[in-house]
Amino acid sequence: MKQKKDVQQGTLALMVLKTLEVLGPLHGYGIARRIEQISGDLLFVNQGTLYPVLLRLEQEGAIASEWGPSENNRRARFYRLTRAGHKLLESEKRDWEQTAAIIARFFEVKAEELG
Amino acid sequence: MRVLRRLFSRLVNFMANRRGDERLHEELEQHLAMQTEENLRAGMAPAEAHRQAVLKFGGAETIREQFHAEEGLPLIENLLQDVRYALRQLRKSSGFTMTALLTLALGIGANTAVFSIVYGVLFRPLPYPHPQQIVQLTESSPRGADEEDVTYQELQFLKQRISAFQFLAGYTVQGYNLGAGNKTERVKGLPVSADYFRVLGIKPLLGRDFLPEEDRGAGARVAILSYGTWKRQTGGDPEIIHRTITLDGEPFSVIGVMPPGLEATVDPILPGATDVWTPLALVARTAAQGENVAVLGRIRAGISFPQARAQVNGATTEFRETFPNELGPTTTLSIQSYRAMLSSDVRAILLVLFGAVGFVLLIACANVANLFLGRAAGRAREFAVRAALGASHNRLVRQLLTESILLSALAALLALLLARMGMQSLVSLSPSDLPRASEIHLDGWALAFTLALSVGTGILFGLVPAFRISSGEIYDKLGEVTARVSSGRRQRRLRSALVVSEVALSLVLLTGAVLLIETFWHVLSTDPGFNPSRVLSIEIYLSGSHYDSTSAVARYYDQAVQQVEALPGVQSAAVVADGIPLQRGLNMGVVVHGKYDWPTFGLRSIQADYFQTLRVPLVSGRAFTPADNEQAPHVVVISESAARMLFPGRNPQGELLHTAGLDWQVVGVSGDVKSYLDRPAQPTIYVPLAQMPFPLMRMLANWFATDIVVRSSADPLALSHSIEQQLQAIDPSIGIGHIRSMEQVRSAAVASRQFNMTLLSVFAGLALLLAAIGIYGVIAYSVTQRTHEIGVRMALGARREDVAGMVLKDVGVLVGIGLVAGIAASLLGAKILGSLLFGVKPRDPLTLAAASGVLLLTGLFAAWWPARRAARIEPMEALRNE
Repeated sequence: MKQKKDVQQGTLALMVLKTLEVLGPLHGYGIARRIEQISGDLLFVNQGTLYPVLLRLEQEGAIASEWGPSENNRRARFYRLTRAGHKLLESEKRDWEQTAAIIARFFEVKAEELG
Repeated sequence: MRVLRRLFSRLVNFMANRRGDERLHEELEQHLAMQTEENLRAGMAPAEAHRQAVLKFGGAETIREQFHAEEGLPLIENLLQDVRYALRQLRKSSGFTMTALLTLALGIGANTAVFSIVYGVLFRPLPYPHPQQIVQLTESSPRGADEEDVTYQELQFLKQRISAFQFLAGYTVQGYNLGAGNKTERVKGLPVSADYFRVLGIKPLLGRDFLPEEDRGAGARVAILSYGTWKRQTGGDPEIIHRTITLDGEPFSVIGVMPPGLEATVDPILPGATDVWTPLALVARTAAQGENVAVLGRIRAGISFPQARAQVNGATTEFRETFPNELGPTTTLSIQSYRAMLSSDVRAILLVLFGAVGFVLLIACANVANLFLGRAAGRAREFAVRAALGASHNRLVRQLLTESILLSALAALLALLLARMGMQSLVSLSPSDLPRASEIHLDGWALAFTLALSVGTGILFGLVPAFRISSGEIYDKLGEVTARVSSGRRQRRLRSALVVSEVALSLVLLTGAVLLIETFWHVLSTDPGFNPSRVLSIEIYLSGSHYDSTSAVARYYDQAVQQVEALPGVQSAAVVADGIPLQRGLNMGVVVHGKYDWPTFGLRSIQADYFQTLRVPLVSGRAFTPADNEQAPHVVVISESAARMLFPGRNPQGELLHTAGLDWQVVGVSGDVKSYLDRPAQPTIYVPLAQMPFPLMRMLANWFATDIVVRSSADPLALSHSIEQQLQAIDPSIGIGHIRSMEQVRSAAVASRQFNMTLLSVFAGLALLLAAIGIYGVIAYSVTQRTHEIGVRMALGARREDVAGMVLKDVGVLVGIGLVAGIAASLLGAKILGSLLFGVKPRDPLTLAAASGVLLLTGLFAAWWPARRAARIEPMEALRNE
């Protein structure tokens, strides 16, 4: 079986921000599930690693959190994107697209083109 | 921005000791519950659903740690933990802590005290605006730089030719009898150019500064008082401006009062703070003859020091052409920073003392490093266990450094107390002519220095055991059942190196101290050329218009001597003007047969009984008699060295010489009398006081005291009161200055050498003590470590003497290596002390041998007890303790 990759913190943070942008306020479990669904169960070794990332984003002011009732009336902590978080997501997204574009071009290049 | 925000919230969490444990706990619970439900829905059995949820979540403890690390400031938390732990450790081994603490506090305290003195005297910026722009005019020659004194005309010349200065001001020194109300006091006056205070950049506290027109022509009779004089003489009268005071009987109008804390000028004749300033023009003509105007300048803003110096250098040639015979052929005009000039005399010794006290600290550090090493060996198991439990290697080193820095920080606190006390006694011990002594205090710089020192030393001696941990040695300890196996070879070598360096450092200090002690005794046992015992000297200042001729002055002094000689207990008395022995006195040029001889000669005006009173031997011819008065032919007595210089190979009897504007006939030759104990006697010309030309006499009285010297049959100081009464009975208006026995004068002359010697000896003694403690510690430890080995040796037939001998031999070898290194260092560094020595060479082999002997004995003495303990080891017991 192929080993699941442990996501780098930065990447995970970006996924969290994007998830919250698309789905609105969400609790930790919801975010973890959503990321798993999209990445096809490939990303997480441990779901728990999500929580330090959430704390960090909150301390940076990108997200805010408060207690609220969940779908089946449990008490859960809901995270939502702040204004600063929106801006952060935008700039991170640009950076990421740039990096991805550069890497993609590198892979397309063939030996003769460099000759 | 984000980073700051994150740091801020972490800091807040840390300060509030807020921990999100509960929140995290609850979130985790919910997370697991939701996952479990999901799993149930997917058809798992309840137990399996929960198990899978937990597995998927991952190690809750790891997550919690990550969460917590994210939440607060783990670096600081760890540090606090380290500090708490270190404090507990230090408290637990109180013997070790006290020893290390005291050793370090002594070392750091001594350094802080000496630093404060060195900084205050040598480096503290002067308390004037832009002090680096204030410079003093100097002459520089291949031999070095020295203050250049010029005439009033020369000062005017420099003012016109040199544009690099915003202000250029001359000043000279003059003693005054200052009268305000009905109080009279002898004060130090400073006749200055009108620009003097603009050079310094200070404004008067009350009133105004000198105006240019007050310093022109004959000068105006105006005066500015010092803060101290204003308070002392007038009780701080705010209405003092435009009041009249008298200086030497002449009325002067007070125009200003200066703020307190003005720098004392350094002047060999009249040291100490200035009491009153007057316009230089008043004394310009007389001062010009004596070439006694020193020059201060303030460099124009925007012009650098080298530029200004180049300009002054450039004026040399024209200066030499305009004023021939002023500068030697190899001398050029130059400038020096005023701050450096103020303390140039004490620079060398202060730096030597600073270096010496630094050595003491190094030795203290070596001792403490040794202590730490011994303790680290004892704690090897503790560290091994902590390492096994997962403490990272960095964390262990950090722990050790925390302990050592904490210890040195505590020592620094103690050191500040010691430094405070030490500094007070140092300053009170210091010779009275120590420049800028009032600026010596513990301040921010001293605190910063102490802090840097304590952190530095903490790292220095903390690194030694930390280094051992890094070497990995420590991790083997866990396997060892007992700690008895003797410590590694590497460690033994490290300890030996510490002992060797302690011995070497101590030897350097000890050699220096012994050299200074020898110097001191040489200076003290130098024959000054007169007999100082049971002689009193009293300074007399005549003032008032009735002393308007040499005969009037001579009449007073003749009467004074008569009255004093009539007192019971007085054997003889005489008046001498322009300098008593062992004090700086008047210098004059002398011309013989039209030839002008360089350098200058001492000139003293004396009464008939002077030589007899001081027991200065008469070599040939005659001394003066009361018959050598104003009407009689002008005669002089010259000293032996003056006779050799002026009339080489001839009998000087009856020869003529020209000085002080007159021709004189030599009638006698006296023994040489010294002005400085450590220099050859200055060739001196003695003239009868009654024959001195009055204008010169009057001018000289402004600079030099006139003394009456009295030889008594018992303690001379007991006579001082009755003599003073006699002097004032003749004329109540005269001023009396210092009253000292000539023994006191001699002590004052060696005071700075005594200070140097005492201080370096104290440091050397401290070094010796610390080295002895260090050697004792190392040897005692090694004997303990080798108990087993010694037991085996004895069981195999070694005698007790052999064991003691073995230990002593080890010490001997270590001390020997240290001595070789120390001797080499002493020989290399000998030059530094050179200028401070007298009568002994810096590389004196006997001194080196003596110092080495003392150190060797100290080493053996320190090793004596451990050696004895080694010899008393019972072999059976030592072996049974396996």
